[in-house]
Amino acid sequence: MNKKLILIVIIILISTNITGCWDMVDPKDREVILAIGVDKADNGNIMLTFQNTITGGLGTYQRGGSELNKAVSIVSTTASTFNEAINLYARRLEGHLYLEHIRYIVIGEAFAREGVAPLMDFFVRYHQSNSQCLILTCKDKATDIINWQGKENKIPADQIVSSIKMGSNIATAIHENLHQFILNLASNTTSPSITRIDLVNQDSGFGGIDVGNTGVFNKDKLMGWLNNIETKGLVWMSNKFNSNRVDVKSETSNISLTYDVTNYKTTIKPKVDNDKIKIILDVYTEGRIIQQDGSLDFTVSDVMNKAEEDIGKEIKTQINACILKVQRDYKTDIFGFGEEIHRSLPSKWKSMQSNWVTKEFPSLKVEVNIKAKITNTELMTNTIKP
Amino acid sequence: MMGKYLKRIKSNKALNDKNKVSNLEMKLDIEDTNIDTKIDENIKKISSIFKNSYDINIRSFTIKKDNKQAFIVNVEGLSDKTIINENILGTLMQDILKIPTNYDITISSIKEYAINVYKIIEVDSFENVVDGILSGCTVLFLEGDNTALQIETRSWEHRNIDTPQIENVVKGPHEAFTETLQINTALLRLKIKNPNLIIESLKSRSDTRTDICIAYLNNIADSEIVEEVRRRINSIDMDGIIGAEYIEECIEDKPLSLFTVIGNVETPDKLASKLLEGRVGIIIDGTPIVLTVPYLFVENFQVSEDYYSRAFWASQLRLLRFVAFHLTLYLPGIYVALTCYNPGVLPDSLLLAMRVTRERIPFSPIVEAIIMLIIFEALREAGVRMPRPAGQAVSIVGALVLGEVSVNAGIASPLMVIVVALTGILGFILTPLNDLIGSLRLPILIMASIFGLYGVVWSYLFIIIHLATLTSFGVIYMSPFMSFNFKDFKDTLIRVPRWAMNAGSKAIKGKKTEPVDNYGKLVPYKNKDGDKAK
Repeated sequence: MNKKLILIVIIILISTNITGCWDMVDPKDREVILAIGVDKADNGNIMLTFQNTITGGLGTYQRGGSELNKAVSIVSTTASTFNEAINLYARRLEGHLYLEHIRYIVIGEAFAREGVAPLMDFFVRYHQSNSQCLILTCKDKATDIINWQGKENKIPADQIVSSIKMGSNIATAIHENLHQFILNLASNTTSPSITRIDLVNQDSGFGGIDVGNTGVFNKDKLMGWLNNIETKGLVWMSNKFNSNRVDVKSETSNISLTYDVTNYKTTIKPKVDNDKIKIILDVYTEGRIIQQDGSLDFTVSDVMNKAEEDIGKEIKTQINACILKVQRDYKTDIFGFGEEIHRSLPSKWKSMQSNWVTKEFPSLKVEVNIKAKITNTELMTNTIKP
Repeated sequence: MMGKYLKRIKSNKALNDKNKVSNLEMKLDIEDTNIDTKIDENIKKISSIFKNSYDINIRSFTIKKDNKQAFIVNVEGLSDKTIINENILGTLMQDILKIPTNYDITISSIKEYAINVYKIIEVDSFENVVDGILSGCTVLFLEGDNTALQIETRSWEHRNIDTPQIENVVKGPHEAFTETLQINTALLRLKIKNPNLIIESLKSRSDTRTDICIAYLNNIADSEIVEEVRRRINSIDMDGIIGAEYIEECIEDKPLSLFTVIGNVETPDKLASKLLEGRVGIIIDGTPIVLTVPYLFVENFQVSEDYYSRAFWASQLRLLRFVAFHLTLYLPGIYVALTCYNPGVLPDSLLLAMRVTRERIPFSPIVEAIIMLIIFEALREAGVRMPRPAGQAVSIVGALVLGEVSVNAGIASPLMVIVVALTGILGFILTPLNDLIGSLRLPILIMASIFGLYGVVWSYLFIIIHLATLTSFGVIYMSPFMSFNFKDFKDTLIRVPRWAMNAGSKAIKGKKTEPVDNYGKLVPYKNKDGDKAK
């Protein structure tokens, strides 16, 4: 009995070292940082911009609120290391700096082009990091993105994250969080690609954000951008969207319609062809017509087949544009082709491995096969003729 | 210091034991407890036993036929006056001619021919006489006889059979037990019309000499459990037994545990179903609660209504009760742990909303939670104890002042009010566990506030380990969860339809339900392998 009692007491005493009152913080004393912008400053210093919440401004949380009642505060600090920059800021705060709820980290172009590895190391190592936070990049300064205040939501970080989520749902943007970014960074062959966030029409008073472009990395260094169409091609290959709409406007066959993808599958398969490795990219989609210009009669099977063909062509254009740009301009494997070859053709991979990025990937042949099917035309077959 | 104190307690106890006379035998204030042939002697003895108590009624009279002196004794209010007047006094004083002339007037001839009451016992000592008088019988003494007649005249004012107070049912039977033992046993007998239903009377060893009955089905209940119940009740030695809980506390396997291993039943239908599962009922005079043993943890979640509604709905409610049990115990603890230690688990917007609501609160969430829990318990206690006319005041103060105004005044955050209110309401779902929940909630909260989520997990483990050690009259308290025999799960987390519940689906098994049982695993002191071999 006494032995048991002593054992229990010892266990409890030991457990107090593991956790305990010492790390208790009242939620109102936590300074919840929502976003961090990373920029290059002069003399090789780092500039961090923090978006912190102001509790008073959150009173009427979410929508509305006057200018006086701001929900976030923006502060920038400059130091030679990340830790120093964060500490500089933490010292100015009333409560405890709390980074576990960061929504996104935006990396300025200049910093990204120099390499983000030290930043990633810091955030993965740091005990309060949030592996679900989004990694974004931008043209120019990250501070501008952090500083941007939308009209729709009092918390700009909320608005940015939800528009990226929306974008990745409807296949106009990619959605890469810290965890995935690190995985790609750590991979031997694959490189990360992240959403570029742009501020548009800021002068007109209807300013918003655009998340349709993509920044392409070669390992930890930013190489360049993919535009809207190329980004859509990238999303097709990622196999990760919920819905996707394809606008088809074919001059040759006079077809103009919008195709809504309901079901799709993209498979990437390497194949040996005349001793050369070729990537076969098969895209199978099913979808419905949600709009047409009025000239098409879908009861005629020829029209249907023609439409399906044109939809396929349009998707192919998007994918090809993306692959061409990446292979020609950036020479970095953001699609994971290398891993696919490694997985299915390990014997071939050994000889390619060493000069994969420099020689093999840029000259890799990619065959894109699209099979688009129209399963229905929604509630109408023909259009209403006036 | 401590040792000295303990020693003193021990020696005091020993002293008390020495002075104490066993209560099983009644100690009377007379030297000779035999009934005297002289009537005056008997009257003297009766008066010296009862010391002229106000409610003891002695009526002397003369039987005309032989001019014999006689007297009756009874307790005012415990006996039926009509029977005494008409069937005893009336016959003996007027219609005595009924006795054939060739017989003398003696106790045995009166019993044989004169008194037409259905139950008469001839007694020969004052212990039995006093026993009879105190239980409401009328005792007749006759000149020249050294025996007396104990005539059944028991009848007293009692509460009518009412609806249950604790566990209300919608569809099932609405009658509940009352305070009178005889009514309760009759109600039980009405449910089980079977000679195998044995209702055994045990006199308690206490100054109040309360009647205790144990009821069981001879062919289903395990004889060793019945014997154990008998042994434990007979070994109770205390000053008075007023309610069922007096017994309950004395016959538990682990008296210091927070969990009770004895069931409380309020309605005859529930008692009958428990007996049919092989349990033993302990019916105590003067209390509307009947105890059932063995009692399993899972019975806390079984409600009579389950068996009167569709199995699917009953199963849903079962699961709800299990969830409610965990929430009501752990919600304040988890709230404190999440807000103060592990906010990373919370959704972003919830954390921000929490910050907003807590902005003006001067206390930390822990202090806030403790204050609110204590206020809630106080309100509940007031609600139960208050005199009815004060009810409105308490509810206004409780709902308005403490709920609404404490938030406005910045003493509690709205989220905390929700947590405490939810915790309280969910606690009411589990009536049998109410005491336990009340006493465990605060320790869990304190564990959570010292160690965070880690503390919540720790307290959960402590409770599970403790539960695993409990037994109820030899049956493992956590069965069937500890036996992992899926046949036994038919009436636990869910209730399967009645036709699918075969004999093996209940944990308490007896002779009738072989060969499906796995009794050897459940009951440590009984090995069923021998039976299986047959």
